[in-house]
Amino acid sequence: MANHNTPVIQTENLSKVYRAGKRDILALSNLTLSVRQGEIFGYLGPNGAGKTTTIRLMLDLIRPTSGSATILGLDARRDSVELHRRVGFLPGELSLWKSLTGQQVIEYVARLRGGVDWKYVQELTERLQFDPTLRVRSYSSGNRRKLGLLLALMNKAELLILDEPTNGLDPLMQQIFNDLMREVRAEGRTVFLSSHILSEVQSICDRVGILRGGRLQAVETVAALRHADFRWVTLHLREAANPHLLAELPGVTDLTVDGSILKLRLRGDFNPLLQALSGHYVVDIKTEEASLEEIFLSYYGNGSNAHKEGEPVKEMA
Amino acid sequence: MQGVVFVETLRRTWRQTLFWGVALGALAALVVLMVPLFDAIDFATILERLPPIVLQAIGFGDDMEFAVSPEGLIALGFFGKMALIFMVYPVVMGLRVTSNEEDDGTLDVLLSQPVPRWRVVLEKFAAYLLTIFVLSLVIFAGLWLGASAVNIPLDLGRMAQASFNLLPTLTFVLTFTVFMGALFSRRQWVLALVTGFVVASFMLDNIGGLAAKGSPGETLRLLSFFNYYNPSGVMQYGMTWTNAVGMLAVSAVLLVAAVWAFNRRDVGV
Repeated sequence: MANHNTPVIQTENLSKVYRAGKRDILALSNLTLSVRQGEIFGYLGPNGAGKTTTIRLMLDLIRPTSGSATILGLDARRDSVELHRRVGFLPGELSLWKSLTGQQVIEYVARLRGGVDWKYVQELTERLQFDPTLRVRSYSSGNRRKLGLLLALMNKAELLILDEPTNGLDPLMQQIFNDLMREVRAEGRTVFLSSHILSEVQSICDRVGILRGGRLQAVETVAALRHADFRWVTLHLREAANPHLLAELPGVTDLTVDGSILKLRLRGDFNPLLQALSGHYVVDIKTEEASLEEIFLSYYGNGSNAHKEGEPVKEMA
Repeated sequence: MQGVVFVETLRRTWRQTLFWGVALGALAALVVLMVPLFDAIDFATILERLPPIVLQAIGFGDDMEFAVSPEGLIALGFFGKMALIFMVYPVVMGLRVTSNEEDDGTLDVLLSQPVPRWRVVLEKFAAYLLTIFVLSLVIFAGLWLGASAVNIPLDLGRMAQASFNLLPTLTFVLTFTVFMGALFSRRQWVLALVTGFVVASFMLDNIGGLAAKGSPGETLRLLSFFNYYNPSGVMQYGMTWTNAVGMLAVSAVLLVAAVWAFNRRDVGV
């Protein structure tokens, strides 16, 4: 039975500064984060927020400017080899040996890891609908991603560190990926996955760390994040609409009316909106997911509510 | 796991090594096959008419008798003049130890496996070192085949020594490339630095060969690793073990430094 309070990942003031010529670029600032055993932890942030830097620090591919990371009770720097044995990793920008076939890549990594359960590899291959007989150079980006997932999953590692895992996967495959992650969680294993897509994180994660500009803004439960979530809705009615029609409706803000076209920001369920429109003929409804940046601004304002360096990170879980 | 990177490196390299071996072996055989032609055109008389500075410039020194002998022609025409071609192989293989994988991004996958960085460097290095040894064998085989075909009395012992005299130099260039790859993450930088170093060394050695005795040019020649390669000397007098051991010792130091540097730095940035 998984002990959900045991930290599988624990970082303490982890920072990374890159030097570009004479300039110092702060990629990650004083990250203090705890991920518990048996949870799927989403690491959410726009591109360039520092997600990949965090992951590369955890895997000892790059070295911290200051701070430390303890993964599965091991020091990420000193015990990296043992750590790698117990971690499955999928890089964000996955590059594999182009001249090898998928099968040869799997066999190579399996040998490096000291063996693998080939039955499970076969099962994963079938579930991911992956053909390992082709050369890596001939795979589409989606198929390369599948191979990367297979490599990360095949050793049934205690911890999976996945950087933008669904990039390039079609919706059906994303669903299979979600199922696999839920199975991993059910076995008491832990998943740390980074993403810049809110809906992806919402669909499988238990908790979410929100990163922005190299700083951890907050750690939230997915439920709390749902509260912050909103959509842009465009309604096309048959006749010109009354501007006051939806203005007072709870959850509706930023309403603009242009003849028969209404644009608004909707937080929460659709039902009150549909009920308010019951006397009107709706020609079309378009919804657009809010960008991560918009959600940040909506939830944290212009950073005023966000976590300040040196302050404890707001944890709502 | 021990030896996995070594075996995988060999598995991916053997075909290319074979192509290189066949090409260099054929070139060696071709040079030997051409030796009787030099007799036919009375090459010695042609050389005698050339001014000494020109003879020095094209690599024929003071010992004209050796220079026009079959061994001398092979030493100068194959091992000497084609030295830069031989150096391409260890540079190409040295880049594969870390630079190519780092530039391609595959190093992230490799180093996230339970294999220490030092093992990755050493196992790959060992695999490429083995291919260099095989290459030397194939070159010797080419010389032997050529000599058998034209039936000229060649000192095969000296041929073998000249072939294996390539090993310390190629090992040095391989190690130097690995060292540069361990220091710098950009393949283009590594390639530019190594190419510059090899070409500059070649020029230094050639210009130093023309310089008057005791001049700064001759002293500067000591800085070129080609100075310690000296195929003519090996063909004439046998292996210069101090040169060979010296090159291998410097290579060992560079390899240790490469492992140390690579172990300390960020990868893929």
